[in-house]
Amino acid sequence: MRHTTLIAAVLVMGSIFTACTKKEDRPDLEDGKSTVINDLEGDIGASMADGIDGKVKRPFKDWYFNFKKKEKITDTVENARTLNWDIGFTGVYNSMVVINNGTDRKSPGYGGPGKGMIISVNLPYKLVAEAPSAEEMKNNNLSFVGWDKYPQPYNAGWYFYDLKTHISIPVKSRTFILLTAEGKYAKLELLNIYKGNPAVVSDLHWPAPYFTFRYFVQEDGSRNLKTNE
Amino acid sequence: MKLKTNKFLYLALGLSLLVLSCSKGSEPAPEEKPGKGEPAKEVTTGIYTVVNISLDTATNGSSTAKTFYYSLETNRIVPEAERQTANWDIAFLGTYNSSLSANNGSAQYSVGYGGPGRGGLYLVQNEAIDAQYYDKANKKIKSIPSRGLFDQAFNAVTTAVGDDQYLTNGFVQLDHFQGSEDGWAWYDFYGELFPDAPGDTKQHVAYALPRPILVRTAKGNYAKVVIYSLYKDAPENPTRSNKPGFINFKFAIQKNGSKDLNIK
Repeated sequence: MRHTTLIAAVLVMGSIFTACTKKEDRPDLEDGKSTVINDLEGDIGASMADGIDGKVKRPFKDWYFNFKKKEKITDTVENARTLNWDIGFTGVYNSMVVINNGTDRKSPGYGGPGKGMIISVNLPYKLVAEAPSAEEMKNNNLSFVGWDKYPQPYNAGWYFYDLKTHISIPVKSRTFILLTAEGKYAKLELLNIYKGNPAVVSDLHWPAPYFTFRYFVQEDGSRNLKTNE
Repeated sequence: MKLKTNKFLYLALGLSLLVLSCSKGSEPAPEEKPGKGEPAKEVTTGIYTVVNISLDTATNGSSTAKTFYYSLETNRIVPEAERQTANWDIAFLGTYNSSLSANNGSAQYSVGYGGPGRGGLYLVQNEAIDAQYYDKANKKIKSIPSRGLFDQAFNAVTTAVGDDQYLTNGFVQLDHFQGSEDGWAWYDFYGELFPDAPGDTKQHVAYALPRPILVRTAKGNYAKVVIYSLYKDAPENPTRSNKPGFINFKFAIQKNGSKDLNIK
């Protein structure tokens, strides 16, 4: 994991300097408390674009992520109904992020011990200081976050998808408050699906899906989600 | 070259089907443009076929597709300016105009929110018919449903469901795509149904399903709708090159206010 992150980071730097047409300052994601995951490789073997080397016409393979271990889990069959994962990356381009909940039919963890939930708040990550009550989490639970306002107008997502350009644009200043598989409060910011976390993508063939995201899990069981500026 | 032949074949098939289905409806819909002068005339109880109603032909599948408003009561497209009136019954919006909203003034997420509409939608799933083309376990189609199934499913609906069962605060959608539930069309994002098709010809293709949609109109009448296609000329086996943004459907409307949809 550490190695891949390092390699990814090097690649990121490379691609930023070589490929970005517009140089833009990206704010530093590190705040000393949160975990930042850069360019975590999704299922890059699948693509809807035919004729791209090494890609075949097949659905993207789902995978999971464990917050504590900072680890990607690809064996979904073995792990779906366990506490080994907190969020799953599913669907087209692995872009639909799901939680691990044993009683939620929409969760791959259905039937297992998971206690996961997810809600959306329209606030920048650093300003999200406290999670709402368990009751409120339950009432506003989205089960998954993906394409904004899809499938229903009340489904808050983490990106806009333009079917004309096939480019997904992350929703700014939106943070997700979660319950992890074990039922601990956490906050999550999903930043990009494109390699290098570029500020603007105009090229449909920009390498994807590579996920950049950051999160903070409150291990003491409280609702305090304060991180540093 | 081979591709071209196929395209023509589909086109020819599509055209002959259209002719067939037109003759079934009691009144083929005139192609009206939104906002054109004449006062709207209410239809009578009966079956109507709508062919190639042009929704959003300019955007070609953009998520910013323009919303279109259709009135079953008057069998025509209604201009955007009348969104907050009871003059329309179904809004087509979103990707390929594939999301359907009822006209309900009191539902926050209805396209008709704030208006006088009392509408609702209900997707009908007929298990016996679904079994013929749909893989329930994997939530995808096994084969393209034949046009006969659409008419069978349509005819099998003889009454509207109870008033508490209609969806008002949300859309009837694509079937199991990115978090959606059971829907009226199956979107083959990857081209899985035709893995040997050349290039991207069968990717990003939406297949309508023989699942009728019950509509409570804005004014509170009941209707049933079956959508054949959202492509121009309603090809039975559409490809990427077919033009989306044209809706083809059949509907029956009951104008006496009852739930009787056994309309011939």
